[in-house]
Amino acid sequence: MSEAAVTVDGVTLSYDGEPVVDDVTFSLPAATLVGVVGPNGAGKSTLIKAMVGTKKPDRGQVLLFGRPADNERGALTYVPQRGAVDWDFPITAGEVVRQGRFQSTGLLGRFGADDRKAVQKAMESVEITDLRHRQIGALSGGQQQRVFLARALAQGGELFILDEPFAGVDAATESAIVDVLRALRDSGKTVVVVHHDLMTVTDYFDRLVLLNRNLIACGPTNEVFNEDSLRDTYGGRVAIVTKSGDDARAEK
Amino acid sequence: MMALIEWLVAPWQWGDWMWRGMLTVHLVAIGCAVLGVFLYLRRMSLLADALAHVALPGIVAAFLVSGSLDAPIMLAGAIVVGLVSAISIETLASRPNIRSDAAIGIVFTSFFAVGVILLSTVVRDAHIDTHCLLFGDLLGVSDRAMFLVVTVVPAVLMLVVVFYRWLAVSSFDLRFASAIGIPVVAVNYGLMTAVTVTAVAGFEAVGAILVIALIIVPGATAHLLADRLITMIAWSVAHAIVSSWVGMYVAIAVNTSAAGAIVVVGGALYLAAFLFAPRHGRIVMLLRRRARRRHDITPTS
Repeated sequence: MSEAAVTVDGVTLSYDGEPVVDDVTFSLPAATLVGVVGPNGAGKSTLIKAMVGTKKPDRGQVLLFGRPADNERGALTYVPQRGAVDWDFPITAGEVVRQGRFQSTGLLGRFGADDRKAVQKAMESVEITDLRHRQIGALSGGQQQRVFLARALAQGGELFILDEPFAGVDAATESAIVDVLRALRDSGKTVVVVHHDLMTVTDYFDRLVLLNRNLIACGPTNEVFNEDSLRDTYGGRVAIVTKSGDDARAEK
Repeated sequence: MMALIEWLVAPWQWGDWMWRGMLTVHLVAIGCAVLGVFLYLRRMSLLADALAHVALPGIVAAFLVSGSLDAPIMLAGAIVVGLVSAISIETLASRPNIRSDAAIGIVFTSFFAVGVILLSTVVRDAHIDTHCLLFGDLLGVSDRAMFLVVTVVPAVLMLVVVFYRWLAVSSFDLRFASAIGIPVVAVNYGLMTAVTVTAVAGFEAVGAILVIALIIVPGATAHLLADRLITMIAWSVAHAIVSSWVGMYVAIAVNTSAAGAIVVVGGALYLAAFLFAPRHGRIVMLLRRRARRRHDITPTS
């Protein structure tokens, strides 16, 4: 597979003329687990929006599997930040997961046996089957995040993009989510994760995209995750980086 | 018992205004209740208020342009002015230094005021009854008003059924909706158009002010009772039917505005749900809190 799963080519994104992502170029090979890392306001979520197609670049383009992102929507599965929905919404966990099938069933298509099976399998793989009749606001933060991951699994696709899936979840959920993401990678899917916690970066990701408005570095984790690139990314606020990489933290 | 049944049946024998009023108000209320659920969940209830008000200048504008008050022309005028105001509100609200609630307040009051001025000057001889436009006349529904409601409401409900998945997903999770290819902007303006059309259709029957209550209150009540979207819609429709039915009889019994009575009954139903709802009601919450306190005090060994 020489074809890159994601190609970001000279992309500039701005709000009200103020660029938040400036002339960024990189590509990600298929079947990898990729972390997108950078400080708050570095443009991580905005870059994700451009990949997903909800924000148009001012300049440059995003290619998915070598073709313009708009033509490849079916291959892409997006898990937004958990805070983006209304937890009082009258919907059960099971119904959220069912939404994952609406892309393939369309507006009026029947919700068939295949769809039900996909939903059931997705719920089993993140262990939320017995929560399916609960209203989503009645779930814990970790359970909510599992529900949204299950919706993504039910949706399927070749490329999964997750925006801070570990924010506000318990340790058990975090490791459950990581297991699911690794399984996706092992089955040939490409997984892109916006991530905050530098301590776990080397453990979780094959490759990294270090971003702070500009691209700082992009490549295999063991090559690009070092003191120099972190200082460039976080602007000299990185306090400790040990060689093993498991004790790195960014301080304000 | 017999007396009660007689009392309930009697109005139906007093002339055809009873069934006309009942049919009209039920259709309007059900249409508003269903749309109201989606507006409520999208935190757009205030926009219903705006669109209902803006329908007045819409109707006046349509009359100015065409010189007629036929139902389709009224609808077209209201749709055009409704969409213009909706787009103005969105444009204003998307500026970082303008609050969205203020944007709504500025746009709809300005439009409404223009409508009021036009109504009392340029189109004074158009036979538009201001009192009727604002408060409706359910006990004397005209053929035009009934025609509007009978055609518009079923069409709107049909559209809600067809676009149900798009409406549901985009109301719940806008970013996910657009990521799976749902045209969220079109869905949004479609919903606003549906609200405008329904408000115009309900105008002559229940009036511009009270139609707002029919849109907001049933959805708000239903949210206290439902854990799923489909049951929320069912509760909302149930609220619409009960308040229409009871309100009509109250209006007949005390000889008052039917629309007013319906909205008062609807408000009372909301209060009842607020107090007694099985899970989110105040009483249950108080009992739960007391039970917890007692549990804390009782020594457990």
